[in-house]
Amino acid sequence: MSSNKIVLTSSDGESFEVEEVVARKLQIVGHMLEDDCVINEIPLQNVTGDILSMVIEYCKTHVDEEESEEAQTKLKTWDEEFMKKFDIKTLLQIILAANYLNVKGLLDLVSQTIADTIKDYTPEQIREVFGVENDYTEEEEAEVRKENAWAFDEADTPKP
Amino acid sequence: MALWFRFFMDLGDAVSYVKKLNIPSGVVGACRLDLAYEHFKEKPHLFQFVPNERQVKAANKLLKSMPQNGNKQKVQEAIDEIGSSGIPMSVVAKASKKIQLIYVVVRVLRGGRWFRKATAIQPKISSLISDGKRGGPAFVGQVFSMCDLTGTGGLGAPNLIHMETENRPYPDGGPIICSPKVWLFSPRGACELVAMVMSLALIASMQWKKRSSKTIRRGRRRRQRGEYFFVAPEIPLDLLIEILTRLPAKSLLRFKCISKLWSSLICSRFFSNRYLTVASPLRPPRLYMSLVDHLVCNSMEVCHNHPRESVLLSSSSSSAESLEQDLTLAGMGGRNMVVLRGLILYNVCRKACIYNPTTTQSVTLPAVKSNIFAHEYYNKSVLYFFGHDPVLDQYKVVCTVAVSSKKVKRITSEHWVFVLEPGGSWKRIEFDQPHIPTRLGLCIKGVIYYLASTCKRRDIVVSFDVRSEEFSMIQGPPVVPAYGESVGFIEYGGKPAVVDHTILEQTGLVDLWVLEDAGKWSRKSLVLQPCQMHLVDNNIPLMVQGTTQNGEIINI
Repeated sequence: MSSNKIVLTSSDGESFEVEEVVARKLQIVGHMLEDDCVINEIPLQNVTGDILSMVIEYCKTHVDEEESEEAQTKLKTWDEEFMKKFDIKTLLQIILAANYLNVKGLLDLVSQTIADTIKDYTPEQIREVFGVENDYTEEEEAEVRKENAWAFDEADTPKP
Repeated sequence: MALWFRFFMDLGDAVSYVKKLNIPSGVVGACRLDLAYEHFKEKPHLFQFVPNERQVKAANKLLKSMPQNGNKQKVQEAIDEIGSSGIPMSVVAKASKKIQLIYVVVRVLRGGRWFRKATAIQPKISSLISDGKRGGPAFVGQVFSMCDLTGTGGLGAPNLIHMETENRPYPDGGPIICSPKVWLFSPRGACELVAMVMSLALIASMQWKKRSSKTIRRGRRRRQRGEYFFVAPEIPLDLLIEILTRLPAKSLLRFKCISKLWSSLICSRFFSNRYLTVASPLRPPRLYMSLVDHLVCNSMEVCHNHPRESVLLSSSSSSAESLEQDLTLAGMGGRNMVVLRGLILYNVCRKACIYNPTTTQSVTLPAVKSNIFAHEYYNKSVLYFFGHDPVLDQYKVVCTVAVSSKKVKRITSEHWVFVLEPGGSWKRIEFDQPHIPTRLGLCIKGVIYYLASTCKRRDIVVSFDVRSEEFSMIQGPPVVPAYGESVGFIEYGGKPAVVDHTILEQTGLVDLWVLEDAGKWSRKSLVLQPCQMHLVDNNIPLMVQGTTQNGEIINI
């Protein structure tokens, strides 16, 4: 395995030196390396340093994906613990980064984590988090709520 | 005004780009290149060229041999070399005279393949649209364009769909409104793509309506909020779909009242189809069981029997070992349950009922107006089959009404089909092979299959093409006897198969007859070891119940 080092630079100028195998987990970097278009420093314009560091942490852990069941379970546990650290706002930043950097495994993991997190949200919370504007009139919204009344059973009761 | 075109020289790249956007494959717009060129002339800076692999190689070679300050002549040579294969050089050359294509080409040359990958994969839409905006992020939409230059002979058949987004400053200097507009250049007219553009257009128009109604007020509020509070990042539509497809149905129904855009997205057929293909731990597989206390009706329309009692029980399995019954629906459920793509079809008296466990909606189809059923016959049977046509994305229910004389010497059968759509009704289908269905149907790749008895000795497999609504008959495997009650009819490896375990107890043999593509049956045999024989040696008749997702056959 090559121990070549690659420097990844975030949009806010933070640099990370990582092993080439780790950097290759970012498919965007992998493609660059394939083409020999870069020597060893890669600017990543759409991601900030704090988010990039988390993506790198994920890639380091997932650098050799072993087939054995034991290793898989261990990774899964790590994934869960890793995701617990973030609030929804950070998760949304990570999903954008995972999409841009093209890290398939992380994209799946974050999508699922966001789904897990928001599944009990109220519509108001979703609007806030996703920056969605409510374009219903009051009557229209009441109508939609009525149609789907059973889906509101538990969600509207405040969480302890 | 912001227009954005992305040209792919390689069809494969274009396809993977569209895939990445989560748009159904085969949905590619069309634009004659000369039309595109008109736009190109006007707004060259909005065009992005994504070269193919060969071009990039050639370009890299040239770059190495070219001095850093390569002049226009050299670049022109580069363009010529790159464009040697089926690329509309006339257009490129024409364009390059008027506008500074050279810049574009050089950018592409310098970028190399990674640039192509990076740009092709990452929809830079949000950032692009954000350009020139003063307010916070406002418009979350998809602008994409697609060009197939590798079609029949370059210039002739290029395809392009393109969505245009306008950024129009508001008179009061407030936020900028984006009013998306869909343009479709489709000289060749492909109907699938219209469907897709329609759905995008719908989403876009929802967004537009919203903007036009309350922009000023909302916009101000938004700006104020943005200064002090967290500003939500713009999540592209494809990522939003990625997240939403993993949610339980209940959350989605609740989220319909977030906004009209969310509601139309969640309710769209496109989203439902994606939803079916994504597995999520939030939606464990469920087991449904229906208990019915009722005599079989003797009439198609009116039930003369005692009041009917039924209950639909459901269990979900959060882990592989445990099953917890967590749902009891009184009055739901019926005989002959069939599951297809998340919908359940069953009989209530003699009528067909379809239940959607995701939304808890159910619909009972009108009774079939069959003449033969009213007559006196010894045996009467009504069986419904459920089919889905993946091409037109249509659900159909097929009804086979069969009557027979004593000892099944004479069979009469009628066949009806019902398209599940508003205003649907039963339509009679002709099929000259009278038969009585003996098993529930399977729907595999747009074809319904079921086992049936005829007056002849061997049972047959009846197939029904859901799209063309045509019946045909396939001779059953040599083993299936007439009225073969003991064999199982299952899907195996994406094909219908007959499981014959009639001699299991004597010989420890199970035969699996798989219907191959050419209508031939292939045979696989499973032999039980002597040490396993005690498992079947207890006089309990086995019934074949179907296959699991892993292709294991379930025997009960």
